[in-house]
Amino acid sequence: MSSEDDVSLVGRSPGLAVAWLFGVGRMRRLTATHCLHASAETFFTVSLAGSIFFNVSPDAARPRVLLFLVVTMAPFIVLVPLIGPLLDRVRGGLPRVLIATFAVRAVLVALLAEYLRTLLLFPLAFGVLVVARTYTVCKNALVPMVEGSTDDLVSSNARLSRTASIAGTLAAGLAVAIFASSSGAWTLRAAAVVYVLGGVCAAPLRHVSTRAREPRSSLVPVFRYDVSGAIWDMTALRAAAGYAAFHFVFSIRASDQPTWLLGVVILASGVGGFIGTVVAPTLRRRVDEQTMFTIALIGAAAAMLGCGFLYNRTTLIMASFVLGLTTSIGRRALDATVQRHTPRVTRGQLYARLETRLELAWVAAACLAVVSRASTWVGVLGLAAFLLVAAAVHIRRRRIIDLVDASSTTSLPDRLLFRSQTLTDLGYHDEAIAVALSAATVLDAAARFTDPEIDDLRNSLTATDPSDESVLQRQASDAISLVRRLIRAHPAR
Amino acid sequence: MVVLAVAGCSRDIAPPGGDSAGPDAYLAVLDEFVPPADVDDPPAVFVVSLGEPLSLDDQVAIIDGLDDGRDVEFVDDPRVVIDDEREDRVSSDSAVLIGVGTIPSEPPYTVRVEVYRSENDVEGRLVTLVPSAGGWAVTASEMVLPEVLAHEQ
Repeated sequence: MSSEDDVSLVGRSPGLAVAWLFGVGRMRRLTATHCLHASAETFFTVSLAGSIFFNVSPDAARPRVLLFLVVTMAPFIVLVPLIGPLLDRVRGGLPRVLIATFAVRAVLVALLAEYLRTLLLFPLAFGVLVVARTYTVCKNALVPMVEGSTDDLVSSNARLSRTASIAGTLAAGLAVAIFASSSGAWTLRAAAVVYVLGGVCAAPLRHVSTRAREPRSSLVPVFRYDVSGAIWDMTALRAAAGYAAFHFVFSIRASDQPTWLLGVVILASGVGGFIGTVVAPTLRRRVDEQTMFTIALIGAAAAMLGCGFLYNRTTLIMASFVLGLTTSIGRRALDATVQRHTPRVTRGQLYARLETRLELAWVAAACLAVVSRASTWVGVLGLAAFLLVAAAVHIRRRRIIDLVDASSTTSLPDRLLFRSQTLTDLGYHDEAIAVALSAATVLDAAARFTDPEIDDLRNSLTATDPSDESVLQRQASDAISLVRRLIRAHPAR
Repeated sequence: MVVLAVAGCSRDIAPPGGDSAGPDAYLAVLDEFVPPADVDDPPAVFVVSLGEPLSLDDQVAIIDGLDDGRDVEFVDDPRVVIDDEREDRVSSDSAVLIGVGTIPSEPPYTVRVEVYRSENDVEGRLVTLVPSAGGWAVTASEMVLPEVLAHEQ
């Protein structure tokens, strides 16, 4: 952990406090920009309390909300294949898009201030939502490119979230004061001003180069079982968050619960997310990323299960808090996994793609919540079931990763043998044979002889119909047995 | 942004079932039963459909017509504002729940209205309207036994 991430040093000097909050170098500019984004979003969210949404019946609003959720998915479906070329071919493209999101949102909320109590609330509010998601994709893709020399994605992202949460909390107080003393319209006009400030603050970031300097193999980290597994685990958590957000909005409104409960539930989720940014780096020093995901998925599932079976306001608030906390921990675990297993120059593109996928998962789950019409506790139980399945899949995948991730002190032939065994257990018999033959080749070279059985196996592999699973499975078993025999006959030095 | 704007100008995906009069007719009916407007302490007015649910567009138009000096909110289930659990539930001195049926699109324009002010104060009416030069006007209001809101307690 870098010095600017050590909270114990904060009280020692203002400089360290600033570094702890905003980081160093270009990260400081990005953190300040993100704080302005969080503040403006808080103003926008508070203003919605004065919108027409809370006056119409939930069932009447559902079709319109569902329509706009689906519409907001469309840009991301288009964005996924384009984000790579955008990063490569447009100099400073990513920062310029990020700056543009502030300008667009300033215009949208200024318009929304005039139409907050009309049906134009829906297209304008969802317009802000989709542009905010675009900002999130760009910001997360930009972080690997502007982070300081400590090269610590986890700390950088944790700092961004932590400081933005503080800024958002301070902004919430001001937004509520403006709302209470005037109206939602004036709160939106204040949001427009903050968005403009955010765009101005982000302007120097347009000089950040986002082009890859080396040939990239962006598919490689995604095909790593632990990286792809981390993406799936985070996708599950993100989907849970999207489902919970819209489910709570509609179910609480449709129930006999007071409206203030919705505000408390949303606040609890935000507090949980903030605490997650503080807890996650400490957790990471004690356990690995896979364990962090295990804790996050099981913790979220347990909280939802407890709330579903012992449903009351307190358990609902606690469940929302835990979901925010575990989603934040999962986010830090994903950052750590990406940092450990991907080349630095490919992280920007990888983040752009995976952030887009995460946003799609959030929106898809939100659509499901709008359509489901379940009561609050039924929806919570459904969410618990989903998280339990995600946790079970994660645990099964983790056992495979533990098998694959053999100790570095193990000899190369032994490691290749482990991988071959794992591949054939997973049904990839042809790959298992190839890996086993590699192990045999290593042993051949070390022993300075050629075993005729190896040549026979190599020749039979090329002659075998690749679609003949039963033959491949037998050959994989033969290859693994051969390698075991060779290892016993010629132990590694 | 263009797609969002077009979607925003479109009508609801699911149009309300059956033919019914527009929001102006409902405004004329509701105006007979809503408490007086008070900008400093706006009374809460909950509205529930007794027949076909009102579309989002109609609800917004009705809210726009009544909202000045009142807090108007549409609900899907009257129990959510009658239930003792809800802190801002309907009571005689703070709020009123108005159930309104479906106004037919052809004459006679007669609609059932039930007004719930408290457990012991539930009123039922059959209200007749006629279209007039300025919109709609209520011509008759016959008292009837409440059927829906009286049983929702």
